[in-house]
Amino acid sequence: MTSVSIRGLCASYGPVEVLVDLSMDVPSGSLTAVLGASGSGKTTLLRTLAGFLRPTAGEVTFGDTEVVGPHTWVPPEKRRVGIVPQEGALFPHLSVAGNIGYGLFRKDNATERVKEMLDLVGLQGIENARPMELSGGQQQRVALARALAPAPEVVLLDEPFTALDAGLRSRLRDDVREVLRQVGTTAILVTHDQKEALSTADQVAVLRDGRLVQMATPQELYAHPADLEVARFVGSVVELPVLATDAERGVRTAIGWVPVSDLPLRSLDSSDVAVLRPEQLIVTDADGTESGDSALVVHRSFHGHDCVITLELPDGFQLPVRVMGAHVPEMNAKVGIRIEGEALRYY
Amino acid sequence: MSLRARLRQQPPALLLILGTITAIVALLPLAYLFVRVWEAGISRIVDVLWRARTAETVGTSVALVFVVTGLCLVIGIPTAWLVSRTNIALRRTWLVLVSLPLAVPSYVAAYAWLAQFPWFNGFWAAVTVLVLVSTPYVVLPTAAAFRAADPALEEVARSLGQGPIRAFIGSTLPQAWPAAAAGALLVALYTLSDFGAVALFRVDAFTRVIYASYRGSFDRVSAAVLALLLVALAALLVIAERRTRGVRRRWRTSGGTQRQAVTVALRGPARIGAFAWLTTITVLALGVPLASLINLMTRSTSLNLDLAEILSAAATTAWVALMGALLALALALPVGILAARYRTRSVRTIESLSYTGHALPGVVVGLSLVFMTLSVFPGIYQTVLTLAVAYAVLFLPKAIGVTRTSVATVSPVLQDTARSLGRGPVRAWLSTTGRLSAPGIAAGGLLVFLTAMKELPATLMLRPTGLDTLATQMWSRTEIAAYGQAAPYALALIVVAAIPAWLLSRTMTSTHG
Repeated sequence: MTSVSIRGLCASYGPVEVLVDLSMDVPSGSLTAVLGASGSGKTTLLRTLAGFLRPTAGEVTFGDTEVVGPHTWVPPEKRRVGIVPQEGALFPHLSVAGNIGYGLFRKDNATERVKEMLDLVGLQGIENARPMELSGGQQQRVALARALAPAPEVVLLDEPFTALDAGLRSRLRDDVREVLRQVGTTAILVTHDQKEALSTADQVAVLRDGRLVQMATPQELYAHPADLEVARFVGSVVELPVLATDAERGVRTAIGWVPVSDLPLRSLDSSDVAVLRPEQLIVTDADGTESGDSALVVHRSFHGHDCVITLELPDGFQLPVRVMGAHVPEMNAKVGIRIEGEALRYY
Repeated sequence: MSLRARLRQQPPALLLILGTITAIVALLPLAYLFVRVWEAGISRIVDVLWRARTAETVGTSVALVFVVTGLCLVIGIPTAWLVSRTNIALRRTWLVLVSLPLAVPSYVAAYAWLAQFPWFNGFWAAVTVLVLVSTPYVVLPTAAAFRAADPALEEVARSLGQGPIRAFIGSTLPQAWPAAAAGALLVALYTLSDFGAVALFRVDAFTRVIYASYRGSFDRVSAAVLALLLVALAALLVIAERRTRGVRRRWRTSGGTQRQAVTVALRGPARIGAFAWLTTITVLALGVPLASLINLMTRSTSLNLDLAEILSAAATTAWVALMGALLALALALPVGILAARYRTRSVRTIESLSYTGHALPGVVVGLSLVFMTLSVFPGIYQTVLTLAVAYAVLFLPKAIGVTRTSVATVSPVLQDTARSLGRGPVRAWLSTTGRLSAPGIAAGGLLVFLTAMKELPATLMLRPTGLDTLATQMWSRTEIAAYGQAAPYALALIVVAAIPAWLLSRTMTSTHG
């Protein structure tokens, strides 16, 4: 098994810098998601790892083998990297078996290996089908089988699920994760979809403007994002202006004191906010609030499994609250708010 | 995003070198003309330009271009509307019939008219034949634009209180106009470069004057100066044509699927009028030449045709055209790949230089290569190689266009994936991009081959002594008014030319339909 280590990677297209001094470690056998908005450099990172793009500086090692270095450049065909491109990108002129067997050079046991791979991805008996005849999900499974057939050291997945519809996407996601776990290959998944990153990966690397902003487990990333932008990127947030701080009680906001674990030792700034997830705000019956104030329900948007209501505080400040189940307050009802847990952070 | 980033990547050096060679070959004839003219000195150039004869030539060519283009628009737009938006019977058949004249080379049409009506001659005869032959350049794109026109605009105009005719003029016609204008510019370029019709009808336009002064061979400087002047005019048209391309897509207002355009039901006299209009055009553009040819053929059976000679000319034609097509493809391939896959400044320069042939009439390429082989490479003067180079320069734009489109339809991701699966760069290219774009490139090669088979002026000037193609055989017989003997060659040429015209009308009707 192979770990991937990236040190000081820089890449650019002409004058445009796309990766800036990027370093990260991907543990052997793990599934790491690289999460970023478009233009963050995540596709460039993937192309550099695959060997399609030559970085301007930096080193990449797969296990003990240096593939990119000051004097090293291993071409893509020698890297033993499997890639699963967007929308599969199967060879349209080859059958399913032809696609999966494309990277197998010892033809004597190719047929067997193809069958083995099809079993692995949960497709049987479609060896002779043409890519055109397959559904989007099936194409992705074949693309994964094709990438895994030559037993690569590292598998790179480039937004493999984005083209699929929602229901199919989550099932395929689980299946792909299961397959990767079975074969134990180190995998890197590039995506702009935070849900996909959080639900699939063992760890998530957040990229912004070609720089690594944070690398953490999904739980850690959601609960303790490195900055406000990451907090917004990986989930909905409630941003409460900070009115006062106190070493014991945390920060004071329009809805009362909110505990914060790592209060910074600096003076208060007018732009400071405490950040919470909407599900940390619990709606209670009127007049039971911690701050004493009650809030007014001014907007409701119903989503089936939950409902997001907008509450207006006496000073005019509005905040969204997620309410689960059937117990949704009426419009113009007066309610109280309780805070569960700590603020994510105070910025 | 990854696609745009990919386009900005630097192309491989080998491709750039090959592409540069292509650009140099494409530029060679024009560059050599410049050198020749420059060597002659400014005073000689001014001399030639100042002659009354030069002004007359410019006047004749410009008048010819304006009259032919104007008439093609006047005839082409209503025809396009009839075959695309009305309920006229056999609409598909009419569309094919009105596009078929593209298959008749201008010199064949001119010959057919001349053989039947020997008094038919001069400026207006050339106008008639050129209009009949090139109206399809306006009809085909305009009909496609009419069919693709968003009917919602016309409906909105109607609901805002305009009558049907005003709504049509105000909303549908403007949607078709960019297509018609682009077609008109092609007509203008075709007319300006045409040699066959003007030479047969003895109209002293550029091409005929240049050819005559080359044949006279005592005044090469004036031929070269006139050739450059002709190229300058052609370049203006090419630039104008490029400009219209950007405008053509602006009329679809939003996404979403678009409804089929509504057909207008013609009744009574209007229907009869439409039928008469299409019939007249078809009879003049197809009926007259074909009837004339058949007439000549039946009479010429008594003239004991030399079948062996015809077959040998056909074989020779195929052989030299094949050389030309292969050379054009070999030169086009690196440029087509570069243009489809990379968007750097060097690639753009190479691509646009390789398109030089688009603005070079056959007479100009012929003239320049004659001069150049005589004084720089006497070893290849009047050889098949020189002829193949001429075909390649003239038809490179076609070959590059097709190669580029074929390569661009293959996702570069396939090639990347192939490399990750263990193939080296060349094998990865061959098994993905090469394999998948091969049919398209081959079709492009076929198109170049068939176009080269009917090329006349450059072939006349550059062919090795004793080598005869279908076009030159037909030409030499027509020149001595042996019309009957020319007929079988003319017929063979029409068959050769019909294939690409048929392909063209099919792609144009299917992609926009």
